Amino acid sequence: MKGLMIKDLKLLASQKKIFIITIFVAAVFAWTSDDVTFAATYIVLLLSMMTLTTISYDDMNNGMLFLLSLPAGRKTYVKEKYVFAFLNLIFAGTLSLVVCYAFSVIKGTPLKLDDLLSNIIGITLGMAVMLAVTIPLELKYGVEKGRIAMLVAIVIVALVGTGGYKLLTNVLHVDVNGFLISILEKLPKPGEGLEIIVMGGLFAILLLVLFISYMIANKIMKKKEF
Amino acid sequence: MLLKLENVKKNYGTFHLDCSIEIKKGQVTGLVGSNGAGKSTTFKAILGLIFPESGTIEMFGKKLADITSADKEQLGVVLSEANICELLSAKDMAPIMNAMYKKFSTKDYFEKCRQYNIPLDKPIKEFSTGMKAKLKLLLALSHDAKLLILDEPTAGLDVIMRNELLDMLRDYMEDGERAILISSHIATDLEGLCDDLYMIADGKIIIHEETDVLLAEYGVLKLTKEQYESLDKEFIISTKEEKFGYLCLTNRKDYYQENYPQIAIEKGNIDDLVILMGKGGKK
Repeated sequence: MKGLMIKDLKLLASQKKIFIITIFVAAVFAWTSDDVTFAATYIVLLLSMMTLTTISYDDMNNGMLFLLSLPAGRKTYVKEKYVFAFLNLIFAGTLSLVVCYAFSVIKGTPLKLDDLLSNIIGITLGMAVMLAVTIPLELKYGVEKGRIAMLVAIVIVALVGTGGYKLLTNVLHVDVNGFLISILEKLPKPGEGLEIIVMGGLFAILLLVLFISYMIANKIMKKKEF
Repeated sequence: MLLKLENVKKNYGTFHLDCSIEIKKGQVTGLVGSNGAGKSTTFKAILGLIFPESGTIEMFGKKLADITSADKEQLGVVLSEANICELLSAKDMAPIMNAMYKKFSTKDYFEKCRQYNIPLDKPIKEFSTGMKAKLKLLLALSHDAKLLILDEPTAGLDVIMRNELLDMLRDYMEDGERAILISSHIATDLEGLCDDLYMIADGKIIIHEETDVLLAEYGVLKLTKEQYESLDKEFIISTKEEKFGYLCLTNRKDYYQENYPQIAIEKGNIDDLVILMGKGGKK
């Protein structure tokens, strides 16, 4: 796995221009806008996409044939991608936090660290879910078709979500909002440990989503012919 | 036995592969055939990139499914259609290979790159076809593999570069413990290098012969229609109709030389085999 990890880092290093431009654009956003959180979102969004970029590079010009003829097999390839995605998300989140907080301090309008942090955690988790859906799709259908499949998946999830909500409230007359509020009321209040529960819960969901995605990706790779 | 394929079958629509091959220690084995004959499919099956429907593949005395990454370190591979990610440079490949192969030596690798004029810092996308092919072979040779699997390693190269590559392979074989399976559509490459040859057509192995035997005993008979009709066809393997008459491939050149001294007989070579045994040829 170490070899594949080095390969992905070298691939990113060959794209250092994109990295520098990302930081530069984020800096411009942070400087010109009152809301530094937009720059934070932008950094996490672009950097976490880098995992998908490495998959496209691997796939380019039948590169997978070369990679799979090396000692690292299919299983190791999948494992490395998820470890890389995980580390990349943490790196993106941390970098975004440091850059944006530093900017808010330089500008003389320091943000509440809590606000910035919760914003960054939110977008990082969002990107993790996006990767969890996209990595298996790209491995199965290839990069081009995989992205189309991802869009289709998003549309289906949105339709099922809104359709399901409408079905429950309008047709079956279930009080969905009331139900959600009743759950929230049972939770501890802010300052009484809510943050810990939310953070812990989100982290658990993140790990579960990535794990399920990893298992699916493994199955896809095991059956794939090149 | 370093590699053994037994009745390996794979179907793609109308194409059916059914292949048995053995690669012994100390030997260079060639796989010859026209485009679409099944060479690449065979190589992919050996490397586990596709899954045969039936048959067995054994490598280093183990079933393919039981091959570990440590076993795969004993294998050097060049596939003409597979490419190293073109954003990387030859220098970038060193730490990657070093992490994957215990026997990889960065120092030797850099030295070989210099010897064969491979630029270290240039991204591979700026390489010429010849440089890419040389780098792929250098990487396959860089970690002291026991078995080399080379699918068209000389594709797209000029004569000088091809000879350079073939010399690299001869050096590799000097040790006597190693083996190579190589395919090429350039017959002369294989004639000078291989100990034995498999000929594949329409997914099936139709000839397996030692190269020396093939070159000494096989021949092509050029016949007029009348000559063809009166010919004893016992040792004719394949026939192709031409404008002037018939081309016949025999594995007993001497028989026809003795019995039909008036017939023009050409020394057999691999190109004739491909032409006469591939599509268009008939038994």
